[in-house]
Amino acid sequence: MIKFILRRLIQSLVTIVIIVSVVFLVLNLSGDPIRMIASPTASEADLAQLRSAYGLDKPLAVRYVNYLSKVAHLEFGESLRTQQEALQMVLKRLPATLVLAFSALVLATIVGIPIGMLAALKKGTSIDSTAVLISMIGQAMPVFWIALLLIFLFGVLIPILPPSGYGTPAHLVLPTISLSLFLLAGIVRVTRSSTLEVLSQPFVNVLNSKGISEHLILIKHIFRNASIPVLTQLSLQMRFVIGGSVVVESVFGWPGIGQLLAQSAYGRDYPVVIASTFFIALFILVFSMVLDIFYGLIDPRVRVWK
Amino acid sequence: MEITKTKRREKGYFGVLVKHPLALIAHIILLLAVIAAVFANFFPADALEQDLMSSLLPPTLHADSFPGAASSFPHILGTDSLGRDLTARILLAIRISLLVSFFSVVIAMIVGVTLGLVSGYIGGAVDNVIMRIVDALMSLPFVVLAIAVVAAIGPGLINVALVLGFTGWVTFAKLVRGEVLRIREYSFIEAANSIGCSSIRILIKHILPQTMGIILVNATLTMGQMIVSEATLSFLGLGVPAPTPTLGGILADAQQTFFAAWWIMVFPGLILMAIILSINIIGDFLRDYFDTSEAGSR
Amino acid sequence: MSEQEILLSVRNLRTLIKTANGTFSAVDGVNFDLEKGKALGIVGESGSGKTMLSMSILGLLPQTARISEGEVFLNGEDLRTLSKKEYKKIRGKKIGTIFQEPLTSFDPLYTIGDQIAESLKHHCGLKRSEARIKVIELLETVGIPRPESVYDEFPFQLSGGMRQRAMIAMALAPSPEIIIADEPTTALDVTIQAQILELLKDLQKERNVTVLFVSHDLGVIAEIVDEVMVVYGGQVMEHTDVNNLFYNPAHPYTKALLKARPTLTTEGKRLRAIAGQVPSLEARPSGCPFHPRCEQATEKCSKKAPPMTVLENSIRVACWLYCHENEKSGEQPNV
Repeated sequence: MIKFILRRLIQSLVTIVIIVSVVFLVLNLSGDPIRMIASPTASEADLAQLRSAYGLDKPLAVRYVNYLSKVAHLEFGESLRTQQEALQMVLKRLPATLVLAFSALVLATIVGIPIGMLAALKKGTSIDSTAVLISMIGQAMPVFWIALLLIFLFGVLIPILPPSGYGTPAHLVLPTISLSLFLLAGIVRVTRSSTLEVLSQPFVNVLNSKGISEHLILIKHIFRNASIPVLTQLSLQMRFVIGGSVVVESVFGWPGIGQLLAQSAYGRDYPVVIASTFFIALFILVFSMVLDIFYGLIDPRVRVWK
Repeated sequence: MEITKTKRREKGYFGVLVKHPLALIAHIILLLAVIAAVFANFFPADALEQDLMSSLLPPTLHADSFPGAASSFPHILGTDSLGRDLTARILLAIRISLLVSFFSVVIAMIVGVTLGLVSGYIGGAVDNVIMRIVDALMSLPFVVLAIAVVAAIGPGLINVALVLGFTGWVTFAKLVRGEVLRIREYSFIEAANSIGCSSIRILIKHILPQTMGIILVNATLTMGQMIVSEATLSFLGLGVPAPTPTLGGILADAQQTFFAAWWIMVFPGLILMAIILSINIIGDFLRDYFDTSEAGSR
Repeated sequence: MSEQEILLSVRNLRTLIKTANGTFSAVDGVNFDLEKGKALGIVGESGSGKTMLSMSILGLLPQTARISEGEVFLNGEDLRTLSKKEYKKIRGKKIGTIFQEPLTSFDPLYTIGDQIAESLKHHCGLKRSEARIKVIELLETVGIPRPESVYDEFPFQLSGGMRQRAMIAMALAPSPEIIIADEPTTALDVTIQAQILELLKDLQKERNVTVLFVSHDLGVIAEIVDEVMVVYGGQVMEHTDVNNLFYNPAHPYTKALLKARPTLTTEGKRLRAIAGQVPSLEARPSGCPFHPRCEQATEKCSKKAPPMTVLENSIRVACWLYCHENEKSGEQPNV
C-alpha cells in the first residue's frame, strides 16, 4: 500500500511539472506579454527596462529553468494589476473554492448514488426511464445556464435565496446546486450501469441462495461493488467540477480561485493565472490520490496486489 | 439500445436509426440546427441592427406597429436591451457555435489521432512522453486550460477554435493509442509486417480504418463538449467577442436584464441544451452502432 | 417407500419463461420424489431445462420466469405457498446451493470467512467469534489446508479448487437438509474435479445430506448419485437408479447419450454423436421432445407426448416404445 501511494506521488509530481511547463510554453510562445501591460505609448527603452525587470530579456531555456525553480518554491511573482503577491491572492481564495467544490461533490454523491441504484433495481419501469432522461438532460445543460435559471427562479421570481454573495450557508445553496447538477447526472448514469453490472454477477445469485436479507445484500454487497466505478467517475469528473466552479463563482460573485482565474485571464494577469492554474491542478491531483486510496480500501484486489 | 452486428449489416445506418426514436429525434434536431446555421443570413430581421425604441420587447407574433420601427417582421423571440431581434441573434449564434466546435473538433482529431497512432505504434520512450502529457492535460479542467491559453493569445473566433482544438486532442490520443495496441496483436498486422509492408503503410491502410468507429464516436461526444466550452468562454467574455452574437454571449447579456426580460435567458439556453443533448444522444447511438464500448469513457 | 422418508417431492412442475418471441415452458410437467439421504442426479444437455428446474425448487427464478403450476414439497411443506420472506428462511437454512463458477460465486470484496460466516450469523444467530470457530471447522472439513489463514483471505487469492471447497463449506454452513449442486465441477480441471466429487461423496455419507446433483456429464453423475433423472426439452425422459442407467437404459435418448460418451472400451471406435441439436426453448417440437432426433421415432411420437410408464426395477420412462395404447394411460400418471 505504501509503495502504491509513493508511486502515485511521483506520478503526480511529473504531472504537475508537465502542466506548469505547458502553461509556461503557452504564455511565452504567444507574443510579448510586456506589450500588453506597458502603455501603448511606451518607448523601446521603457519596454527593455520592463523586460529586464520581469527577467524577459534572457533566452527561453534560461527563463524556463528560472521559472521552474520559482514555481518549485511557490514564488509566482506579483500580480500585474494589484501588485499583490499572486500566491497570497490565490491562497486567500482557496477556502471558498474548497467549500463550494466539496458541497457540490457531497450533494451529487448522496443524491446521485441512491437514484442510480433505484433506477437499476427498477430497470425498465418508469422510475428508471425518468432517471435516465433527467440525467441525460442534466449532462446537456451548461453550468452557467443552470446558474442563471436558479438565480432567476429563487433569487428573482420567488426570492427566498440570495442570488449572489458569500458568507452565510444560504449563499452556498444556489452555487452548490448549479455546480453539482452535471456531476449528479453523471453519477446517476454510472451508478445505474455499475449496479446493473453487479446484479448480473453470479455471486448475487449465490447470496440470494444463502437466504440472507435483501437489505444486507443490497448495502453490504451490491452497493459496495457498484461504488467502485462511481469512484472512478468521480475522479474523472472532478476536473469538470472545478472547471464549472470557474463559471459558477463568476456568476454568483463567489470569491474563489475560479473567479480569480477568470478575472486575471481577462486582464492578462499572468502571475495570477499561473498561480491559480497551479493550485487548481494541485487540488485535482490531491483529490484523485485520495480517491485512489479509497479505492484500495474498498477493493482488496487493489490493496493486496500493489 | 442493443444493436447487433447482423442488424447493422442488413439494415444500414438509417434502417437502424428509424428503430430508435430518441436517436432519430436527435438527428432531426441537429439537422435543423445545421439548416438554421447555414441560412441564418436569410432571416428577415437583422442580428446586429440596434433600435433602442424597441428594446426589451417580449416575444410576439405581431410586427412593430409604431412608426419608425426598424423591422416590419415580428420579434418572435423578443428583443434584447439594445433592441436587436433575438431570433436573428440566436440563429447567427448557432452558426458560430457549430462552426467553432466543428473546426476545433477537426483540429483536436487530427492532432490526437496522429499522436495516438504514433504513441501506440512506436511505443517506448515516445509513447511514454506522449502519454504523460495526455495524463497531465487530462488532470486539468478543459475550461481552465482554455482560459489560460486565451489569457495568452487573446479572445477571438479563430483563437477560440484553436484553443479548444489544441486542448481537446487528449481523449483522441488516448483512445486511438489503446485501439492501436489492441489491433497490433491481431495476426493480420503480423502478416502485413512479415510481407514487408512499411510501418506507415500498415498504420494508415490497416490500423487507422479499424479505429474509425471509435474516432467518430469520440468526435461526436467531443463536439458536444466543445459547444459547451465555447459557450462558457464567450459567457465569461473570453470567447468570441461582441458584437458577434454567441449563445454564451447572449446569456451573459441576459444577466443584466433579469428582472425585465426572461426570454433573453430562456431561449438561447434551451437551444444550447437541445443541441448538446442531441449530440450526446447521437454519440451514444453511434457508440452502440459501432459497438465500441470503450469510447467516450471520459 | 413410506411418505416420511421422502424429503423432496416435485409434482407436475411447470415453469414458464418469457422471451422476446413469447412465453415458453422451460420446465414442462416434471414429477419426482427424493428420499432422505439419497443423491439424485439430473442429467441433460445444455438447454434441457435442468438448471431452470433446480432454480424453480430454490424459488430463485429470473424475473422473466415463473412457475405456472405444480407443487414442490420439502418435508411435506408446500414451498409454493410460502411468502417471499418465509422462502428466504428455507433458502440457505434448509436448502444449500453449490454453483458452477467458483470465481464469480464469491463477492470479490469480502474474505472467504466473512462470506461463509454471513449465513451462519443470519440463520443460526451466531456471534462473530462463534461463527469464526464454526467456519474454520467447516473449512477443515472440506479439506482446505491452513483454514485459519484462508478465513481471512479474499476469493481471488484462492485457486479454483479451493474456492469450490469453500463454496461447499458455505453451502454446508447452516446444516441444510438438502444440497442442490448445479454443475459444481464443470469449471474445474479433471484432477480437481475428481477431488471435489470425492469430497461431496464423503460429506454426503458422513452427514447424511440429501443431494440434488445437476450435471451434463454422465461420468460425473455416475461417481456420486444413487438415482438419475434424464431430462430433455424440459421433460423427464427417464428416471432410474444408477446401475440401470448404465447397464439397462430404457429410453432411446438415454441410450444415445451413453453411446456418445467416451469409455475405455470405445477406444479406437468412433463416438456416436446424437444427430441434430437440442431444440431451442422457442422451437420445441410437439409430442415427445426428442422425436426429431430419435432413431426409433414413429408417427405417434410427433403427435402426443408419451406418458410416464413404470417398468420392472421401478424404472420410469416416458416413451411410446414402453407404453402401449391398450394400457390405460393418463396424461401424467402417478408413480
